[in-house]
Amino acid sequence: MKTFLIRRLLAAIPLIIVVTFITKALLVASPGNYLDTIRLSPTISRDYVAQMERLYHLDSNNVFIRYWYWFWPAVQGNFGYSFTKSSPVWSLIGERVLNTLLLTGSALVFSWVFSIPLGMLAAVYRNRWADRLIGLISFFGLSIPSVFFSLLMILFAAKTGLFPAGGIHDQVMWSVMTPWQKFVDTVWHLVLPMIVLGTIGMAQYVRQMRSEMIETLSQDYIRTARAKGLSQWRVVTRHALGNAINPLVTLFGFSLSTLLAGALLTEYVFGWPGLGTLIFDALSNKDEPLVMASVVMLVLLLVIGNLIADALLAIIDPRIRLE
Amino acid sequence: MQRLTTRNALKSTSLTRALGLLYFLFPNTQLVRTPPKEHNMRNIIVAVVMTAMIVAAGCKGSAPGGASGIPNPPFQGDPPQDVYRYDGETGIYGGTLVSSVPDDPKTFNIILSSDNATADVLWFHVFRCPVDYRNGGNPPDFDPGLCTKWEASQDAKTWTFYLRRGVRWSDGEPFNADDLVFTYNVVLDKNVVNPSRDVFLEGRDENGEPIFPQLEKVDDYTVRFNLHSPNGSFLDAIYNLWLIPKHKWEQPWRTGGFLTTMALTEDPSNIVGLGPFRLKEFVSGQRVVLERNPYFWKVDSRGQRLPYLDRIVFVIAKDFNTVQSKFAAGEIDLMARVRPQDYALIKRMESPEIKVEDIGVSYDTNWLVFNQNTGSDPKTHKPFLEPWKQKLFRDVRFRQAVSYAIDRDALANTVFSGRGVPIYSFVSPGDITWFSDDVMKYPYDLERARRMLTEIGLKDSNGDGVLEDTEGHTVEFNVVTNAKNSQRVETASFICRGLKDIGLKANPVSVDFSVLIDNMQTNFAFDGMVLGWQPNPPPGPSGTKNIVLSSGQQHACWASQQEPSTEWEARADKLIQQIESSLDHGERHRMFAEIQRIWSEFLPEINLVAPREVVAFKNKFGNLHPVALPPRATWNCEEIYLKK
Repeated sequence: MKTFLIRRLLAAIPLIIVVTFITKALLVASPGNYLDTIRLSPTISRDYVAQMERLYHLDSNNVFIRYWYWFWPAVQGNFGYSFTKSSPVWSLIGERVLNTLLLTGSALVFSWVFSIPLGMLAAVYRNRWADRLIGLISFFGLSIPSVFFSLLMILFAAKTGLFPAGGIHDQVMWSVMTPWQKFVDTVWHLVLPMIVLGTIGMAQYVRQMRSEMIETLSQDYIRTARAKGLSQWRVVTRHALGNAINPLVTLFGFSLSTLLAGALLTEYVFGWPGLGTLIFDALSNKDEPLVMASVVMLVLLLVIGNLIADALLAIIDPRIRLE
Repeated sequence: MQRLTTRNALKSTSLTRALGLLYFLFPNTQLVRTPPKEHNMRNIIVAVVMTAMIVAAGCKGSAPGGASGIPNPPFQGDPPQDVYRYDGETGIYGGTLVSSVPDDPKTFNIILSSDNATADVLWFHVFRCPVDYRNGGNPPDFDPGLCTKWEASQDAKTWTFYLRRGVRWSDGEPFNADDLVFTYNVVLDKNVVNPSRDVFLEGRDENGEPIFPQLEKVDDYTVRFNLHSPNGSFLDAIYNLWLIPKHKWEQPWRTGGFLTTMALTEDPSNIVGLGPFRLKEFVSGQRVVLERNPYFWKVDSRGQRLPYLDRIVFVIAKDFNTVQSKFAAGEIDLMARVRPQDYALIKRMESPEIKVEDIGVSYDTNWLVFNQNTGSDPKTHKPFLEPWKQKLFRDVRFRQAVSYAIDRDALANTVFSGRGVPIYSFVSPGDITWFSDDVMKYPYDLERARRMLTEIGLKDSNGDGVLEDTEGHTVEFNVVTNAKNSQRVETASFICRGLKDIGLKANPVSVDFSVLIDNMQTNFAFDGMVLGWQPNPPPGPSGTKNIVLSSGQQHACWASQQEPSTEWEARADKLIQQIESSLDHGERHRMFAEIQRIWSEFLPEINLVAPREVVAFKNKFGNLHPVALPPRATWNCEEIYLKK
């Protein structure tokens, strides 16, 4: 197990180098750079732009030179300053990470907490009205675009006043709130975006859970269990669930890697100050140091998410061994 | 408070509804024959869900208190000897104004900043220049501000500024001429890469070294700028000198560390300025909070110190729809910009509490430009623009014909949702100081446009509905614009559809903004382009200099020319120089009007439509008088107050 983990982590190093190089190459190859918006301003001179280009090492169009300017300090642990926000990139990412984790984490919990029982229910009452209702909900979640769903929710919030129209905190009163009020305020802001992300995630897992469960329920050993006179509840929870849930663990591992980047559109519409908006803005502003740092982080996360999925699978399923 | 109680009432109904939903699901779970243990489990779940909902319902929306009459934070020190007395409507102390900005500021270093989000938050509010500009004055004009007065010599080469005595920085330290001299030295430092430096640039000596005005400290409260050449617009340049305190930043500047000062991570108490507010808190992606500068140097006619408001909060919200929802939900007090397409919707929100005010025609302009570059790529030696296109686009009759073929009224009615006015000058009629109506106009006239094209020698010889030139080239070209700006995209396709009527085949193309800028300024690879200008205060010749001058980088039809390529460009260049060297207002206006006339005749930019600006705000604020010049609503933030 240990050698397996080490080997996988070491394999991530060339992966990161290749991915960052491709990213840098694409940034260099795509037209324009970070300074384009200020270049159009009538009050800004050519000399200023040229000076800024030198300052940011944007004056060369050679991919290798540009990559080296990033790579060498990065190896020494210096990922540079964001162009747009003139702060160290990791501190920018750091202050957003918790917000995103709060949103995607709660959405993840929401979707798993609901999808497993609902999927079981749908399988047990297959083709009955409960199944159809759950099917309806999950098709709704699968087919609605997250932007549209988010906008609907914002509209709901603005019309009814039950929930705030976007944001993460009450921006005016936050500084004078007690810790308890802060907690309540955050939960209150969290509900709608969590429902959006959670419903969409849930929809996929419900379908998966249902089909796995149906397959398991048709197995011989289930018939045996029933023949022994066990209650339906016991059959489902003790005998079927453990076997049916196996493939979902892999899915869970993948969903871990989307934790940090999977909420872009929802974050954008809700004005949730998370990583998604940060990375998106970095890309559209061509804020190269920030883009590069987020790429490194996302690759690492993907590797680690997959690792966790593999490890979990090995723990749950005795047939699988990691060597 | 009224609103809050209804909100809670609504919440409790939703609570029962939600519980109803739970009971609706209840029999569902009972179908599974559950052992008693599960009952407990379910009760726990129900209890948790209920607690969560009660918690959520118990959380109240914000209700910033009304004006308390007591300044909090309180004022400190005494008003300066040379106090600035404001004569307008007096208000009461207290209260918060909540506005929004679309983006995080990028730095708090006002000297280094060059982006709008930073300017929206810091200009006027936190930092001030030696002189002020009253955006809402009638007409908008310079205001003494931190100076008691200024003087210019007859030849416009010596400018003297007399500073107010007894003014203090927002940390309580005294302000005097040393701070101004320090700020000027920082701005001119070639190691401090900043956009203001070139505003002061007068030219270069024989060694190519830049020449700047010399600043002389006459005494502690008097400074004199000695210019090498006359500059009647020198106040415009001074309006780029955002003052920073010497006692804070001299040390880092001397040791070469100025570039990293006043970063976003800086402790807010270190951001020291002369504006009516100072930085209190910044949370990335969420908010910027400004609070009263307790040492601010203005008083009202009753002798009460300004500002009236305790705080200004800028909520950071990127998405326009979100801002709108927040305004509708009462979370923000002010929408400084309502897009034309949203106007009808917002207007319906108008009530005794909410005011939706049309503040007149914007300073922003939209235009179509044709590439007139005759140069060729130094590497490939291929011309930037095919010769037949050069010939066509450089023919003034062609550009005039296109201008006649654009139905500006229809454009204003469709793309701008009826919230725009046709323009023919590169200065918008919204700019009452500098706009000239004495320009050549191009009312929609297809017949005339067709006649002019025939004059040039274009005709449809093969009967396919598209004109050909004398050498047989089909007149087909692209009109590029910024893909991210839907208004521009629609404008481009509107124009292209219209040009079909006079037999020109124009294809609208949307590209990334960077590509557009490259096309305009670097590789000159475009036929036609739709774009716009958004002037910042102060408006007028110095702000448009780089657009008009043929050597300017924003001279869109052919940027950065070595020598003016036409006689009329040379004339405009000369007029700009004459404006700079004149002190006489009437003379300057006359010459700027002349440039507008030349441009309307020769159409380096075919100007299209200027939108009407709308600001929506809560009626509970006094002295809130939005104007079309950015930042639209808070230009007089020290005078705005919350009514009781």
